[in-house]
Amino acid sequence: MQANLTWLDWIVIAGYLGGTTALGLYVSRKVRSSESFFMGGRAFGKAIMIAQNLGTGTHSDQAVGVAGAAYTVGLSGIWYQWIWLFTTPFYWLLAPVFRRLRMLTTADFFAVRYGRSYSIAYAVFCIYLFALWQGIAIKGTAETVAAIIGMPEWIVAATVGIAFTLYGVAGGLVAAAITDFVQGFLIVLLSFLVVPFGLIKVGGFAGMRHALPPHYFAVFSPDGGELSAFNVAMLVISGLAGIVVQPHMMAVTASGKTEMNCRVGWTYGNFVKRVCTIGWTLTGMLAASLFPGIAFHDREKVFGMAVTSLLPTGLIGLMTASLLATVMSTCSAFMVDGAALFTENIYRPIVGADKSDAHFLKIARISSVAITGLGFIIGSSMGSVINATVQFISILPFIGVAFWVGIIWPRATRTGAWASTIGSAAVFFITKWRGESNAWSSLYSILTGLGLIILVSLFTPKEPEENLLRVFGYMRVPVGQEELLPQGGVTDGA
Amino acid sequence: MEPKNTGEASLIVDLLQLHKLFSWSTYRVDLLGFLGAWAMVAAFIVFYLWLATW
Repeated sequence: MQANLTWLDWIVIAGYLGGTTALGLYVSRKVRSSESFFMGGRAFGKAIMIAQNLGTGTHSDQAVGVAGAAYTVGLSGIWYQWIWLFTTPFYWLLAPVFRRLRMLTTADFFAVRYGRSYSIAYAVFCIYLFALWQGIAIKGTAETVAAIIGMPEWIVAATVGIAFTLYGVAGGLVAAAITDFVQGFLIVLLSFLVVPFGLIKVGGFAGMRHALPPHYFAVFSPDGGELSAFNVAMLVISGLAGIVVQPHMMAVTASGKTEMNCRVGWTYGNFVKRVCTIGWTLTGMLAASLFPGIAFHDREKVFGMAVTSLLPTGLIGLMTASLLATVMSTCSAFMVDGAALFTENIYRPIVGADKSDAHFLKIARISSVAITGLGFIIGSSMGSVINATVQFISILPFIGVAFWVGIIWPRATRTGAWASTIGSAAVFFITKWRGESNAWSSLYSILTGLGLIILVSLFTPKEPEENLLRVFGYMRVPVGQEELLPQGGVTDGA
Repeated sequence: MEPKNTGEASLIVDLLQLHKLFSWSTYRVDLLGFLGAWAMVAAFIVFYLWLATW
């Protein structure tokens, strides 16, 4: 499916890579402390927050995955990403909770709420997740871009990796967020660029309907299919239970200057992504109309095939730059957030807080590079992008239940949290091993986690009062009224 | 000292005490934005159904 790139395509690609890296390096001049590296000084406005949430949460492997699913099952392939549609309104309620905690990472929250050992276990798990997600994003994009421009996959991956590592290491979250602003436009462009050309070729929506069988336009897959109503409902519940402990959430949702900026950024940045998902789905359905007969295991190649077959030369360079933009915006943010977890929640507690801030900033930069390197290694062993998405949605609620209960019920204890996490993980894997579907295993697992944290907490000692004051006292004081923050609470991890 | 009632109290944090604390003015920002976001979800679903039947 390699395209014939013209000099104009190459200028666009080179201009994008050079321009983004230069912009990231330019804005990195003001990064002098570890907090400005991790949180951008909590000074972002609404536009940057929307772009940051769109850019961090969107990568081209999702477009490739949804287009591939739509190629196979039709319109209902959209649910692989639209499972998050029903969780999006809750972001409006959750954003001020994160912002009011006034912490750098979610592991900081766990350290105060459930103790240091739970926090370190969470941090280690999340650093692995960051590396895994970077690996998935880089691999998915490199595969598609390499096929389009006819270069070896490793050259594409290395070029992208060097570019975002350069500005991410120098500028932290500030560089990631500012470059996200530019990359956000390219993500929207990527989502819809193919659609008009495909519609013209297939004869409009009427032509597409004529070319595809009726089940391609079903709202859900037929019962028992991979996207039945029950499976979608369980993915929604699991998604909501797990979204709060996605390790980058503290940075991308709590770095706004005001609570309203955080609410608008998280909620509406994700609504923009839901719009983009429509474009990915239509691209997959257009591909099914125009290039039928591609094998199931090759379905994730249809996005690249649509690009090379439908776009005129000149626009292919723009599409390639957009594909690169999605992976760079995501990975630069993950790199910074992973460094925050390592530096603040593993390195600082072990080495001690007596070192200078400059020392921790240096450690943050070194660990950024190390986590990205780990991502490259993990990415080379990954299978299907969609399978990986479903797996992590199922796994995060093991910890997510403890977070939800921890912000609602002061009586929840660290022993209850451990019991919930271990119990729900055990039930999930045992039921999977016994042959249950992912959806039923998730339901049993979440109910077990919820039951265990309540039951065990009632029979174990309450958490120290000063820890509860640091969590609940802070969550009740809006940003801007800091003079009302409770005194005497622990500051550990804050 | 209690925070001023600016309509910004958190529905999630107060969830277990809502039967005692609830009033529109206390949770105004949460409620307006949450309902607005659900209106957006409804608009997406209507568009999706339109695509499916067109």
